Amino acid sequence: MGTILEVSRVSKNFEGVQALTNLDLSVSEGEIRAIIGPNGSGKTTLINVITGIFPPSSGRIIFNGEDVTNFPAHHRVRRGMARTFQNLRLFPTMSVIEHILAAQYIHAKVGLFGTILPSKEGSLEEAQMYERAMEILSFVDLADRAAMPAVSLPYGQRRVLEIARALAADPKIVFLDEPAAGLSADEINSLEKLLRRIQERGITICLVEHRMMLVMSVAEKITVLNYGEKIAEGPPEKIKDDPEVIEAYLGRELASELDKSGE
Amino acid sequence: MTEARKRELERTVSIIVFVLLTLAPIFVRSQYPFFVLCLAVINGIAVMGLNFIFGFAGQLHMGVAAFLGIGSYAFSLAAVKYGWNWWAAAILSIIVVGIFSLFLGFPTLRLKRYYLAIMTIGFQEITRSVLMNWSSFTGGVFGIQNIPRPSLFGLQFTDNRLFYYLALILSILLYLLAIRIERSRFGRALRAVRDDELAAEAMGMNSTFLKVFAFIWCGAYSAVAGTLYASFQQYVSPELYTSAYSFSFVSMLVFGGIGSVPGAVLGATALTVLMELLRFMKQWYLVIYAAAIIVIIVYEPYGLMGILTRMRTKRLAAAELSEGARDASL
Repeated sequence: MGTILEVSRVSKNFEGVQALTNLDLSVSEGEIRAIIGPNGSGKTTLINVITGIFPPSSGRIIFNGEDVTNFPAHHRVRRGMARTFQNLRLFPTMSVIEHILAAQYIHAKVGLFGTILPSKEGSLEEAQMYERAMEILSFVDLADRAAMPAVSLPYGQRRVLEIARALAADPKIVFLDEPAAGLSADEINSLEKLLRRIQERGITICLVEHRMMLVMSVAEKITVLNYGEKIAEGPPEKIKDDPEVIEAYLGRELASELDKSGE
Repeated sequence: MTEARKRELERTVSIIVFVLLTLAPIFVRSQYPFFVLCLAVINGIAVMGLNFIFGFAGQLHMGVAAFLGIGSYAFSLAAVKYGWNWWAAAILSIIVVGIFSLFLGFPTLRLKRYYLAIMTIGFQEITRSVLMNWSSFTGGVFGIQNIPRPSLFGLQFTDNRLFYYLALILSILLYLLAIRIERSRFGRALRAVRDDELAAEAMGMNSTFLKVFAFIWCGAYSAVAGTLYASFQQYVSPELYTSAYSFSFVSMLVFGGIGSVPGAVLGATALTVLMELLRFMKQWYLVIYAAAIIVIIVYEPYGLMGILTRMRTKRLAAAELSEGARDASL
């Protein structure tokens, strides 16, 4: 399988704070990649730079064979990147289905006059959008909530709706920023199943997550960041025992104590 | 309240307002109240325009009167000074204001937050003093006189009553157009940008383009309102297009229900008529007028439409409850 995303030597500097330093990341098509690291290690910054919320200070981002480093966010979405946010960012005045309809905006083909004036193509496309929205909602198991205002959904379903909204943009790769935050064990279980079903659709997943149970069971490869640098990368079994990773999470003293007790 | 019920309520409100506006001239005999009615319809068009940028895109626009003024003058100058056909001059007016909104909107709307409000307050004052002081072109304080009325299919709209119905028909057409835009993918994308600009961009929407798009629609509607205003009065002068007039458009939209097309028409009609009904109170009328607006906003941030929605929801809930009770007793 080919490489879909190639991040090379990306740095990000926020007025003196070095959030990312010479970071390389390469994601293959169809994989589930987890990006982990302690708080403030630059995981969300990395996603923001890749999806174009802000530009990197240096380095290049190649997506699907194309250099997208200087593209604005909305161009990257058109090329197949979608994301969710760590702190939910749903549209407060919209119902569940309207989120999915709105997110299909970029793929609509009928122009301004066709959509605004009554026309056959316009109403046909609108019907197709609606149908596809219902299909996506049943895929994530929210179809029975379609007409509800999104704000009245319980927290776990709001997280799922954010994922559904990202899927509606028809992405090749989707970045999920802590999708399991605040979920119960049951909800994490069904999230895991959902992630696998998304992968089955041929969509590459990049997952930033703190819940290690989920990461270890779902990710094929894990990238570990600390202070904006990559300190380890590999399959879950390898990462679990990597001394540098344990040190980053637990601190040097605790890690060495753990090491001793293990011996 | 679900989307279908919201649409049902919107349809009911708009039908009631437009039917009342259609029947109103029957009960009006003298000239002055008739002028007020016509003004209500024209204000309705301008407030629908404001609703594009303030209601749908969430950007406060404090210079609608300036857009109206430029529209009025572009139309009047073309029709009077250069002898253009009425309809050609009206289309010119839309193009001119459209270009103004493009050039004002593009630099300002690229920025997030409140910059449009600041820019339009300035633009409002600049426009008024240009209209006032560029006497060789705009006629200065004397304005422009002898502005023509249109004719269509051999009908001459010199009769005020006929002209009123022309304005009303245009207003209904523009209402339907605004509803179509609101329910199109562009309308949904605009709402997304208003709700959360960052999330909208992360969904692939070009927020600058969408805001400028809304602003141009605002300009086009304002131009139509300005043209109708000039042609109805057959006279324009700079002192009509004040910042006070701009503020009153904002209060009409907020009063009627921000973000709602029927709310825009309802608010414009209600406040235009209310303002005239309160004139007999002399200096107190502004106090009452302001108090009415404040009460509405404090009680219901979505204005009259919000109040109607709430009443409707309550009634539906009550109906469901009694139905449930009946089922239970069976």
